[in-house]
Amino acid sequence: MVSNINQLLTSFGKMAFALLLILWLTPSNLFAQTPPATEEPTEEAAEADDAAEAETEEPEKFSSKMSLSTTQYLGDTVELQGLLRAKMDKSWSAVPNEKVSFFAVGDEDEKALGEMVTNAKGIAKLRISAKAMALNADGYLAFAARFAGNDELEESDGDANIVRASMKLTPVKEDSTITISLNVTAPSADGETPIAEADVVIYVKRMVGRLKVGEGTTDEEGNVDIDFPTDLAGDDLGNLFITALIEDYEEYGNIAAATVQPWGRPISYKISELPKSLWSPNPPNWMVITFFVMMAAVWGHYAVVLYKLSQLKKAS
Amino acid sequence: MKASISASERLKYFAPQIEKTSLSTKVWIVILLMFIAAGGVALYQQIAIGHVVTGMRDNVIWGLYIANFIFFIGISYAGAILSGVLYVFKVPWRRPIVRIAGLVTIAAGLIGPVFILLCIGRFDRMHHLFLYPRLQSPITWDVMAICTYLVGAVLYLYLTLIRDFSLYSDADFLNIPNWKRKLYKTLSLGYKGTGVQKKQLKSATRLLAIVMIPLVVIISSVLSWIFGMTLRPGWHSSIFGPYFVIASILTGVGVIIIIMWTFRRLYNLKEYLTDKHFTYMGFIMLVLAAGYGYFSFSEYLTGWYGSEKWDSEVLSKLFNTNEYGWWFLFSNIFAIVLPILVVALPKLRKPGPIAFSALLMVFAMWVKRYLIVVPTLETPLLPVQDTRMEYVHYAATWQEWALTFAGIATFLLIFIISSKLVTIVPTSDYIDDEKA
Repeated sequence: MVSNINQLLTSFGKMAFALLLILWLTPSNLFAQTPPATEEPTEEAAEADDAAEAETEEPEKFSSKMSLSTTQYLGDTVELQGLLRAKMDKSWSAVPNEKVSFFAVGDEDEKALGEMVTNAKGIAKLRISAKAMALNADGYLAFAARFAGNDELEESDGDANIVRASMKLTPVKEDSTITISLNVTAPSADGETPIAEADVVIYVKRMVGRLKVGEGTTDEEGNVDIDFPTDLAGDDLGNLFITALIEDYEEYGNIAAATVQPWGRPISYKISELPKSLWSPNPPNWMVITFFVMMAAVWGHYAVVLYKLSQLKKAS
Repeated sequence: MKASISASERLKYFAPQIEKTSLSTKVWIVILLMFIAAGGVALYQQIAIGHVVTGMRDNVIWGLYIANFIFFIGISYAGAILSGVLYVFKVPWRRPIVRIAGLVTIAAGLIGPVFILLCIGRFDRMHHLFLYPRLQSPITWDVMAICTYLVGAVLYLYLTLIRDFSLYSDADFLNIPNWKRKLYKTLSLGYKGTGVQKKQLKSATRLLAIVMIPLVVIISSVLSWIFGMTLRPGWHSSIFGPYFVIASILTGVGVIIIIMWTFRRLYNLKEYLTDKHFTYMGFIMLVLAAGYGYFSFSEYLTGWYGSEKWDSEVLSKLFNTNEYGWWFLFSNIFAIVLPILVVALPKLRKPGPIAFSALLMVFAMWVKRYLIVVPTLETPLLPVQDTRMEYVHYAATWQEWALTFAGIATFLLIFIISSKLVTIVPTSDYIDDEKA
């Protein structure tokens, strides 16, 4: 028996040793995908590395830029929208997940309005009521947005000065025609002053983005009527989310008004049940039955065997 | 055969196997652990760096791992079906083979699925296979089938071991540590060989043996359907089910023959693993090799004669000696022709030549698994977008080879450890026969 063991050991041991050699001692010769061994660094290279390390201790920060825009809604509501970007590779890219602070700027002091974090597009939005806000000496509502900077980005800020304005939206449905009547005004000492020659665009919210459905320009009275399409698809109740928008007009900034109207065709987005087939999530009945019958048959036998084993123990 | 010796004498004959661990065995264990450690390093790199350390890319998404998976799981199936058939049909020469077949079933059955896990890119979503299974997917069938099969295989092996456990725990002369004796006592479930116990154990074993036979045929077919259900040249074939079944059993029989030969020499079991056993197993190998040859010829002839564009492209790679031609020739000659010749010629029908031809056949069958997987994936139906060489042609990296050798080492290690816990020859079978 000893000689047999020795024979086995000799033959298998040689094989195993050879394989180990192949695996461990010469991997780079055998397997082309093994990365090449790195050379020992020279003294000059080491010094250069040290210098580079010293330089990287205080890395240069990227420039950042904050743009602040405003949108005025009816009822003295103002939405502040700060866009934060950073200059990388000679182009400006949006900076997400950074805190932006908003301020109302007075003649002598400023008041913090709140902080928001930028989204994936680098935008931070804050909606406030400007009813109680005082105008500055020039008659503007003044706002500022600030980014405090971080380890990689420099600080930046942006400001916006706007004159109060509002847009009143009146939906009108007569027979088979639908119209959006708009009245755009700015408050003044004499009451409401119409804003003329302002271009208004009507948008409807869609699944992705918004759809432009009409446009017009305000007259001397600040009024404009815009026809609204009657064949739009709405949600399951037929509701449409409508926005009228004047973009960056003179010293008013953006002016907007919104409403929800049941003017669309009701569309149910509930997915109808897919057939029982190979491609759908629902397997054919025969497949389900076959699968469970077979599994039950096998596991049933296992259960019987386990029962018999328990009987075996009892019998002892 | 030692027909007249007592139970204790017979157990004493096998006792050294479970009583002692020789120096040579310890050396073997260390060598195997070194291979496993090398596999561990490769696995760490694969997890830390990602699948990019393997040769698998967008185009050839499977490689060595899948070939190993089919190879090991096929061996396991063969062990189960062979032990089941031999038991159910009460084949008189089955005794020394059934235990080896049972151990092969478990060892290979545990290692095979690990290789498919190595292919999974999002291992963290592994549990989704059970939480959100898609019943139409052959992958789901295979996962369920392998889990079910492994439970049955462990249960079946355990049933065949209970009487031996009882024998070992009661044998005071066995020089084994207390924990081992306690383990045997617990695992024997208090079996004392009473009439009721014998009846219960026999019926349970027989029931499970009967279940295992069709179960193995079905799950081996399910394994083939991972390929067969896919619309790819060289895979989408209606004979892939039976082709895989017969290839699995052929490979498993080869592995069992090799292990029989090894243990026969290692533990001096010539009186139990006789020349007759090798001859019978050789005949089984011959029949299976002939059947496998018939399926292979039918499969490739049909594809070649049809001359469908993509099938022809795969076949041209298999026939071209600058690509896979030599390996294809090797796999067919050593898996089909050689086993038939060795067993058919009376002069060669001896344990040594049969075991040697089985060894070559098993290696050839592993090559065949590789040839099923890789050439087809290198023949995509749509043009390859990334034409870098490593995307067009698959080449296994050292990490994949290291894990492959680690798998083989684990298989052998499980066998060595098992042989230290139970005798390779089921002692109680002989003793019961003598009592009868």
